[in-house]
Amino acid sequence: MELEDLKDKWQKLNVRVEHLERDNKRLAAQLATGRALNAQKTLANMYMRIGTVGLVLPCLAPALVEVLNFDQWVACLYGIFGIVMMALDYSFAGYIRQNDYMTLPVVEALRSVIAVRKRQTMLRIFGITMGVIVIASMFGQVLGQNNSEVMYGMLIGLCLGTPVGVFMAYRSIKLVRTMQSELQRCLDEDDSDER
Amino acid sequence: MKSMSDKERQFLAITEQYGAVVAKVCYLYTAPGASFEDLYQETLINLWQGMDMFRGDSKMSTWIYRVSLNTCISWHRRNGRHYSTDRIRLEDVIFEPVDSESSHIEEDYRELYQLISMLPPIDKAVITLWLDEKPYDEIAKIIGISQANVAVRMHRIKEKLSKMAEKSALR
Repeated sequence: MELEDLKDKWQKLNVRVEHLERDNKRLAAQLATGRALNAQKTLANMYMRIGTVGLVLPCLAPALVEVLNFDQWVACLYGIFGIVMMALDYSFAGYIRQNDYMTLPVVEALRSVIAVRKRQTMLRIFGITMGVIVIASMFGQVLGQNNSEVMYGMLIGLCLGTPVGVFMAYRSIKLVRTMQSELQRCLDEDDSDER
Repeated sequence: MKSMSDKERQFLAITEQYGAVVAKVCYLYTAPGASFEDLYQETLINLWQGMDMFRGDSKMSTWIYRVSLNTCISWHRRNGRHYSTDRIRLEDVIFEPVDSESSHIEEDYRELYQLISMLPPIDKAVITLWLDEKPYDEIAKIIGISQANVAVRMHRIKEKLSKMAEKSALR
């Protein structure tokens, strides 16, 4: 098929969207009440929720001392970890919300999305690293106490959580690299035209 | 600031005028069926979100295309679908030819979507705009690349599509 034929056929297409138009009125009403969210706002809300979970850690920190007989410095580390992650998650949610990339030119939008993904990846890696330090210190406490029930519980949590976290971090890094090479391809072609 | 009812009216006017354009773009980035409607709705939600920030510094159609293409490219990336065009079932497609006298309608449309759907996301965006008879300078503004880059990409896309068309003819 010649490209001009393609254009001709494309022009002759008449996309029937009547059934969608019926839904548009309902959608408009939902949007007016703020009930319909796009992917960007959904992601921002997700980080707000995750951040709020971080508040639980400083609340539970006294129990580490009172109930599990951990050292105070471990409980402080645990609580500070929760507060730091909460602050970072809220900050990231705010960054996503203000990042209106949809109306930008496609290449600029891609740059913007890469920036969001990079931050998301760094946040994830930071969270995993800090989490490992906190958990290692807690393991140290449990080993010292010879409490097998707590030990088994922590081991199970570690075995389940670590592969998930590492896999998600790896996936994020891979996605950022793919997007960056896509953007680079656009920019390289632009540079080669100007020479 | 516009009242909500004014915004709703404006939104519905936009969907009435440009709904078919948005639908065509969405079809190219997803398989027809449930995922198309989700993508179409996602695009409309993004149009709604962006309406307050649209200052008229570009044409309305330029803005609509930017939002639609950005939504579709993000969607494509998030869902990671590399669907085979064999999965496009024509009975799921809701478009029809304006010229109903064409006797090779089904075959032509299948070929059209097979060819375009196999291009990478940004090339797909460029060819979509070209097919809608956008001039190179407007394509450049929408995509955010230089006019010269658009010309280079179009040349490469034409070569790719010709090769793909030859391959499918040989089967």
